[in-house]
Amino acid sequence: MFNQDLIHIIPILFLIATGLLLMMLDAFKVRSVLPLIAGIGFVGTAVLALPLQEGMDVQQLAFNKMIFTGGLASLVTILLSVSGLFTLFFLSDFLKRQEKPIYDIYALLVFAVVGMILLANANDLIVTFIGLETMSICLYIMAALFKRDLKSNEAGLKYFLLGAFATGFFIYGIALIYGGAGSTNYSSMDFARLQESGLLLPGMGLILIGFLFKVSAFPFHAWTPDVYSGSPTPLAGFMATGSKAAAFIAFGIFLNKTLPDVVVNEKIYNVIGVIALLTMIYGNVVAVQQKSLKRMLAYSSIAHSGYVLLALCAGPEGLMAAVFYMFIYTLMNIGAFGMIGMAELKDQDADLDGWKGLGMRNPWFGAAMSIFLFSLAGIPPLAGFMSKYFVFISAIHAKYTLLAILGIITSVAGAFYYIRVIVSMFFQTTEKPVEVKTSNIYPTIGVGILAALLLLFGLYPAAFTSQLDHLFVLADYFTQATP
Amino acid sequence: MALQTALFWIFSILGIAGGIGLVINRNPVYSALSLILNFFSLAGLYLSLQAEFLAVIQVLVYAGAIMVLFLFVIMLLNLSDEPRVEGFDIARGASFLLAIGFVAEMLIILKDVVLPSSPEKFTYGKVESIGNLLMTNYLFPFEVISVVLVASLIGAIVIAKKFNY
Repeated sequence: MFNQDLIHIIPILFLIATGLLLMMLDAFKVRSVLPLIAGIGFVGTAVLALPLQEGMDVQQLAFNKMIFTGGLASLVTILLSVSGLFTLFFLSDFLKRQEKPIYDIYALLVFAVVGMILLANANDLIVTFIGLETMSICLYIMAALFKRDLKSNEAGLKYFLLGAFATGFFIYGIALIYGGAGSTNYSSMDFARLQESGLLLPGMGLILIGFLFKVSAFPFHAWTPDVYSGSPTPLAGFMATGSKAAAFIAFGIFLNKTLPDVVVNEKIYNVIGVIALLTMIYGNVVAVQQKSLKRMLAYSSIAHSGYVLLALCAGPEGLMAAVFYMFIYTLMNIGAFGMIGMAELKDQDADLDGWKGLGMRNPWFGAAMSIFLFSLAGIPPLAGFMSKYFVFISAIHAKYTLLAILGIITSVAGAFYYIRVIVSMFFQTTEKPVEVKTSNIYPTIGVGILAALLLLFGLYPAAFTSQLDHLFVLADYFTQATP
Repeated sequence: MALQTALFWIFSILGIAGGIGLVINRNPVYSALSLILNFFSLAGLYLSLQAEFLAVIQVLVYAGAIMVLFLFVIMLLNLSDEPRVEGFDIARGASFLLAIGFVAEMLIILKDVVLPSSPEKFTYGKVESIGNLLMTNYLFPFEVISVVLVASLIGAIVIAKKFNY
């Protein structure tokens, strides 16, 4: 039985071993291979998570029902490894051009992904909490990585203080839920007792605050722009995608496991729906006013959180839509942040003015960036459109039609600021243009793969969705939802 | 039973007093010392709930290790009194109101909470039973916590390391 448990968590064990190996290699000053080893770690984790073995394809629980493995959990593991892998493509080149040879970051990146996998696959609030903390601690360090850069310091400190505060809310919520339900494990919670005790609403409210902070939903979003614009650019992309994906999936699992068994679930779904709407409106409206590209993408990531929250209102179907959305969002946003990093000079903020005419001087760069931006805007035939389609269709199935319509309107309005960047790149000129000078080939390869994936997902969605259903035994969810 | 109730009130009042002292003192050293008072009274409360292990850990780890570190840092940095905040602005007023509202809301909800009565014989607090649980039911979280520790260790080194970029 115990051996079986170990086999189930092999992807996580492999990634932890990679992280330890990276630490050791750094200590013995074997530094040039670190990005490569981290990359092998991520690829290996994704491959091990594939349902190659008998019985790995169905979702099940391991270690006394502490953690999900197989099925959807495998898909999530692959998603998070992919976000780490593509961050790597941009990271080593970015650090070299900024003349900041920091090598500890590779081990931190790997441990952050370990935390995310634990967070997203947890079936017990204690494991959720451990995953959340592993991930958050690594992210705080990433934000504060450039020690002589005031903006990076500000980002790290802000993220750490606010994050620690949100963690306080989260753990207090867990304590109240535990007090009422008699267990932290979703499989053995006593929901009738939880409801009777009156601890359901305060506990749930506090846990919601913790999750909403991590996904930067509207009233808890204030840290997002400062942290993303102060962090090293490829790592900001990692924060915006991987950490949000993990938090959203944990949030969705939490809602799906607890809400069906309680009477007040309608109220809680309505609260999340309203927050989703406010987040979409706020993110899109404020993003329009931004001059700095990183701040613009930070507000756009707030808006995207709104769409995923809308999906979470829609129950199990919405969770699937949210997973797919975060998958596509990870591909396009890491690409967009990575390309901003590619055009960033030492110690300079990426400003929209400098990008004017960049697409004419460097057509391939312009074309790839346009693919990412069009996809973020949700314009067909790119993958971003498919992911938005899944989200809105799941909201409509759950009778949140009005919210879905308002979401579509904000999404169309939000297309403005993505397209403005494309217009600047191709149709305007400037006195002080930025140049794209990468120090190695990896960022170009990364951009190429990401752009190709977005095009393929967008053009042939059915081919991929049926594969997803088949590989991860998702009850034909994606096949049915594909238009 | 009367003794237990009396101890509960003593430790609760001491704990709350420590918490208030932590917030209102202008001198960081006094604040830290108030926090130690708060930790000790919490340990007392744990003891009266028969959670001996938790009480010992509370004193050893929090009141012992963490607070000594706090005090060292405060004294090394040679912090002076916190400046008194002058005037009033809307943001501070709004956050004050929000905090008051939040506390009031929690109090109103928690007033009506009906907790299930505790079992007659409570045995979870002993070192033995905690060790048992950690090695059986909670084996997985117990082991993966080491990842958090390693990650924060690397983080502390990255932040503290001497380099100029």
